[in-house]
Amino acid sequence: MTVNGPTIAFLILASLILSAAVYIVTTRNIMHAVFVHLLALSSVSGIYILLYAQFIAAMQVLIYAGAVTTMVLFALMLVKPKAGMEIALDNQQKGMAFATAGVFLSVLLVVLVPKVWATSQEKLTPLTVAKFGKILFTKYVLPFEMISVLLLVALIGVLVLASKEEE
Amino acid sequence: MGLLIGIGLALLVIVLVLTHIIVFIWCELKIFAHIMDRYGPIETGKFHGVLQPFADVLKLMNKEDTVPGASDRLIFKVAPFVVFVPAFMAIGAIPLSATLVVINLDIGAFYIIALSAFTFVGMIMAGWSSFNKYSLLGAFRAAGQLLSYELPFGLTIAGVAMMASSLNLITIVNKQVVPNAFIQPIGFLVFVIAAEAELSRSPFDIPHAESEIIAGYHIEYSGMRWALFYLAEYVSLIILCSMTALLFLGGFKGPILPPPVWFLLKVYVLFFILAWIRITFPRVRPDQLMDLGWKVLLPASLLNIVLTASIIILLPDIWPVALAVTEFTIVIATLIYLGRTRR
Amino acid sequence: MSEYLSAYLNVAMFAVVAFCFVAILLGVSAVVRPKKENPVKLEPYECGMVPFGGAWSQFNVRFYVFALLFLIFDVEIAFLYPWATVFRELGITSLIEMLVFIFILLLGLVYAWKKGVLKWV
Repeated sequence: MTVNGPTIAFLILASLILSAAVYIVTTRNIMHAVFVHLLALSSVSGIYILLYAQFIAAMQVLIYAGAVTTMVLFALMLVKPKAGMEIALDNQQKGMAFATAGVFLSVLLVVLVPKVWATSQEKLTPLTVAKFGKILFTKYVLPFEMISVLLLVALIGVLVLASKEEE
Repeated sequence: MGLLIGIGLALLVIVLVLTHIIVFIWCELKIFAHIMDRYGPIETGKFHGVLQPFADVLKLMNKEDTVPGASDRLIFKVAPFVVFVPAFMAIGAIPLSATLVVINLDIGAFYIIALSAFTFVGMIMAGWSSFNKYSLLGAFRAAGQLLSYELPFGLTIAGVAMMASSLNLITIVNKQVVPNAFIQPIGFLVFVIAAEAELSRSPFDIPHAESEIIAGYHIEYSGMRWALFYLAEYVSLIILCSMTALLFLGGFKGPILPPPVWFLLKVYVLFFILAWIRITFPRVRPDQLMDLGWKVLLPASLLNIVLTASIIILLPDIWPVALAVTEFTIVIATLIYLGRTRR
Repeated sequence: MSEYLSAYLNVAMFAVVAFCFVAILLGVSAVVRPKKENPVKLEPYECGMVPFGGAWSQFNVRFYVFALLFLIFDVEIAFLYPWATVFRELGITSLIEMLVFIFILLLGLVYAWKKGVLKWV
């Protein structure tokens, strides 16, 4: 692995994401978790930029860091919040959870670490919006239309639930 | 090496932007004053209060920093960063001429929109960490307002991108033979209204309505921390004036003068118009605001997109004229209808 | 370094410089300003009255519905941008595709409107 600009950037971003993820999982304060999540999402957008997918990076920021985070914050506010928003992190199944996670981790390590990953020989070029648009609207039209149906279903679902809440 | 150039350019831009902000603050005070038939700042500085913004900044630096007792101190201190840093990042993408730009991105316009999404979370962070129910309520109402107007804002920019077939700001300007405001008047009007609401300026300034919920989400902020929110608002103002000039008014194109001069002229004229609107119109009610955003601007911008797309595809040779004619007829028809029914 | 990477390096540098600028401003202010602690200053501000009630009140579900509506149309806008750049080359088929997309989401907006969810209290 040659040490150059993109590599350093990747290391910085990856460590940000991983430490953010660890913090989110281990903290007791939900609001802190949400705001650190924002940091993690922005760093993921940075990784997309390093992968030459600039449009997806901007989309990630707009949709995740913007809309999804706001929605999560509003949803958290609906649950009558206690001061500090502390949540309990302990439960009765600590031993079992540890064992399951350990099994999963060892499976992943055994399968993934010795594997020799095939690297693509193509040189990465920046994905311009025009290229992205062409692929999206010729090859992947059906998934695209399904997205609109999915969004409509989500919308109607939330409206139904919200009107039940008000009754 | 690239790092140093990047830092140097960023410093240059921050100096330019800060100079503009200082001048804009003073101009705004003066414009408000003269429209209201009074003088505004006169004493500070020898000439008509020119040092007033500096005096304000120095005063704000001197204020004691009261962090509310039960608040979440870390988030309280981080919120100004979340609001200011993305605004400043967006300024770098604004081109002053066909070659004078710091960050020339293929996704130019979309980059700026994506960065404005951080403001929502920044506001809620500020409001929540203040541990003040008015602050929290103000933050949520402000976030609701900004969300509602982000949609027509994004859609009208998509309308402009359709005409230029690109999101790169320089390409969009270069492809404008006639300023886009004349070809897509609906898009232009919707964009300006949505931009005003995005900035929380009058007539949409409920987020910091002084007489209603005191200062909204930044009630508990004092001194320099508040000044940062204030600065961020002016940076956003510059971005939005620049976007309007680039997308709808032909950006840096113009006959005799050099392009950067034309661009800055357009930005200044837009700033003057926005300040004029701010001081003239009364505040809009929150429910009127939401109605306007969801029931008028959103359908209007969708209509704009559908019309633009249909006309470009179906009449590929004469589409600018056809689109201009269609949209102007709709605007005039709406105005006549409103004039008749709102007696 | 390619133009793409240098452009995004500039983006990162702008973020760093802005962050440092804010930090410097706050730092200078921290040195300059007075620090007179007083327990009354720590109480939340309610127009000069003694504050009453906790800081939390029950929030309307309306806020959440607006946030969700925003999310859905935000995704629509995000897909509209690549389409806007290429629809001319792809002709009338892509126009129909996008009109279907917009129409389906417009149905959602009309449903929300009819249900009276778009009323803001």
